[in-house]
Amino acid sequence: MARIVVKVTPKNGNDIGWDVYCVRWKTDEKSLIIHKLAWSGPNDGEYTGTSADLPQDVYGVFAAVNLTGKKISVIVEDRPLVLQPGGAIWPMKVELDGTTTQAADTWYFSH
Amino acid sequence: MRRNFALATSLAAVFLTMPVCASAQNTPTQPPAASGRGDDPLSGISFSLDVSEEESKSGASISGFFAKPTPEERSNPGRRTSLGWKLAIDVPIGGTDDLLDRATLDKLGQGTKLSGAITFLSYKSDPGKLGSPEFIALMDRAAQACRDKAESEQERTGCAYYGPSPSFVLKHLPSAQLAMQRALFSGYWSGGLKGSASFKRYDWVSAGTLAKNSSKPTGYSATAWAVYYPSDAVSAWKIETEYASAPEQMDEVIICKTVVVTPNLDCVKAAPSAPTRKDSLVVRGEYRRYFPFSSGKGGIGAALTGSLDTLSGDYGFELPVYFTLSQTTDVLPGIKLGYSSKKDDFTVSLFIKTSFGF
Repeated sequence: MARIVVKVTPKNGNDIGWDVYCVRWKTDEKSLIIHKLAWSGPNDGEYTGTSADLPQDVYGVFAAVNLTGKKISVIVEDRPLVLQPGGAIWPMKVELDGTTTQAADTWYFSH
Repeated sequence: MRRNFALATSLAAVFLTMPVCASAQNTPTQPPAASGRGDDPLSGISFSLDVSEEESKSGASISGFFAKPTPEERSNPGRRTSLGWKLAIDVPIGGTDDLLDRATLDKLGQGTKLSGAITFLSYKSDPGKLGSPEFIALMDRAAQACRDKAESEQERTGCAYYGPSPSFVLKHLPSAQLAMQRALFSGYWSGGLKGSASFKRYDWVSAGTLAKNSSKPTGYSATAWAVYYPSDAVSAWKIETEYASAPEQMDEVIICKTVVVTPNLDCVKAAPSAPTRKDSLVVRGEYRRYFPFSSGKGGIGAALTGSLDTLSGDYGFELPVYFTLSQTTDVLPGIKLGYSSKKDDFTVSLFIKTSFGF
């Protein structure tokens, strides 16, 4: 059992217009479990979200942004190997390029 | 000045404008900014420099929040609401400062402008939609598309997914972008109230004596707007109402002394009287939409804006259409149609470097 610690750096430094959660997908049941993060910061523009103690498994970090021009970088502490998308390297970047009003992504990793 | 063919260069855009109506006085105009959305609740200090043939100005603003989600609220999926403020100044820095955009009936554009705004944002965060039947159906379709394209058993094995993910769908099934966004997102709102005041010196000449006169009447306006962003994440509806009371410079004419001896000295071209104050109450509606190509690369954007001055009965519309060919090219061509009832002025403009945006 260990906590998952997520670091989020918004481009404009504030905490409006973005959300990040940890999720776990149960393939057999085709159900999604959402794990809340307790937030602190910002410290040097970086927000820290910490989960409760969680058992070893594959987890996802879900990040979503609203507002034109919004961009966030997300790193899971200790940079675990990204399982999906294969070959991806932290940080996960989620941004709006002006042609969409919302954007989101989820990366999965072993914990 | 009437031009059959005009080329305007700016830091932001290059336009080619051709008259369609013989009586039209065409001034190349930039497609409308996402007005109001520029007052999105961000905090901090910003500076801007905007130079074009029609509008050359510098600006500075400071903004912050009255209220925003607490860390506890951030931990829980649900609706987020924030209330922000913004103070701004815009100063003309050259070129013409008659910023009236006839097609959108923007009346308060002359001189130095001070403004203050209160903005709100309300959106919903719902990661649970990742596990919705609609989204999982798209994941399964994307995995099947991946397997269909796989050329080896190893590649087919790599098409399994660890969990639902937007990038997985976009990678293997880019044509399902809109369906994915509708399955994943909720619509959200922003809006605000804004008050502005403009300051400018107006000069005119008295007929008969050619005495020079000037005055500094203040223009002011109040605006309220709301924008709804549907769950497809590629469109926005906006409604706005603006009351403005602003001085309007008289057109320049040739004015002469009572007795003309030397025409070059006894006549001048100038405004013949003080500016007149004009009131307007404009209702403006806008639908902005981006149509992504099914390849997932590039698309077409459009923004239809209609404006009606309920006091004068003037109305106008404009429809810029933007083409995005790829994310890397600097060439962003487009075309803008515009009409203003005030001068029965219908224009078609071509532009080659202005990007679409919400």
